[in-house]
Amino acid sequence: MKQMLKLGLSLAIYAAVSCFCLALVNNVTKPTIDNLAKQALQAGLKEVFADASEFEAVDGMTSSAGVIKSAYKALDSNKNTIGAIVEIYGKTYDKSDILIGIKNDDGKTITGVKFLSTTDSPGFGSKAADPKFTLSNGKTFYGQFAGKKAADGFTLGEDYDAIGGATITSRSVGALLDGAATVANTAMAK
Amino acid sequence: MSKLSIFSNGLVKENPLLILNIGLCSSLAVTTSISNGLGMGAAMTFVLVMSELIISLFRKLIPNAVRLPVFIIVIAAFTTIVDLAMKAYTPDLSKSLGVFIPLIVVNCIIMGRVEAFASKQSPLNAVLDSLGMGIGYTWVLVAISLIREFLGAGSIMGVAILPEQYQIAFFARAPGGFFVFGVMIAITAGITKLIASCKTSKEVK
Repeated sequence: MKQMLKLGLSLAIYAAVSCFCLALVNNVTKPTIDNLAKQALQAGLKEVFADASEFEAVDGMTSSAGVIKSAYKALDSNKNTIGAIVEIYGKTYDKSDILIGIKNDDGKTITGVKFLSTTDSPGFGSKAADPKFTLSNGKTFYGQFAGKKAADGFTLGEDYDAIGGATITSRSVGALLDGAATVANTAMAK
Repeated sequence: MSKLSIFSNGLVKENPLLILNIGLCSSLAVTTSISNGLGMGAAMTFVLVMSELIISLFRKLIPNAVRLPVFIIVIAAFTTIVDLAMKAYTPDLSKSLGVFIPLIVVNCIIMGRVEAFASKQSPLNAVLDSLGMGIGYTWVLVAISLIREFLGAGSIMGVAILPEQYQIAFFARAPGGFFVFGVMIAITAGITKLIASCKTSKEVK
């Protein structure tokens, strides 16, 4: 019994000391890491909706297609809602985190699509987020969506082209974007 | 054992990757570019040196029955420190190394050296050993990634050299990593055999 207490106590001391050190390091690095994430998101928002001058967060959005990590109304300089941006996270081949910007016009024109992250197979599904990979029409996979109308839907082969060797990624990105587009419509109406 | 031979042990004679064949998964996974290889090597060396030093300092205070959990706590703490620091100050490198930085915790090189060496030796010896092992790990990583980056992506340190039509995508993927690594082990084994046979033939004369 005494032996067990001694072992448990010494283990607890080692754990407590390392915990304390980690808390210190975390305190120092956390602001920088959060800042970087914020910058990446802000840069992403600007990239998918270049016309907007301001973004206003919309809370409480859900979708059956994937996890809605955040949604924003895109405002022009007069604070009018000109569209919406939705960040959706969900299953592609593995998992992807995608931003899509949609204009508040007749056919809901897509202003841009950007991958914040993807964990699909390197060399295959990962091409979806690769700026160096181009489809036969010379556009990147995510770049091909800009200018298309979200109201037309996202059917692989009709509305957008697939990545050779990564059909599952290609198809499921469409499903995620479709879900995100529905959310975007709700967000801009709010 | 002299201090120098403790240090040089890990470089070639007992190189963790080429001779001991431990800690292989990270070395095969991240060696697609030289900067990745260097980053992974540096992170690994830091964790190895700090863990061996701390454990060697406290070796008499660690109860034998719970020594493995204590080792893991120490190693995990330093790995998390490296992970957080890289995320904050070298975000691009951290992104391209991905999950392999947190996975340093379960890297057999660290566990193996801590258990086999640092828990029985003085702090100075432990630091020398860990530096040797860390540098031994790093140079092999850089060598593999040099070959893979040159043949697979046609560049060295990100500077494009080979035009696209001469690049071999095979080397940028996982099988290419296995191939390059296998060839390196074969060369090392060949050289070791050659040296050994030279020695024996001299002794016969």
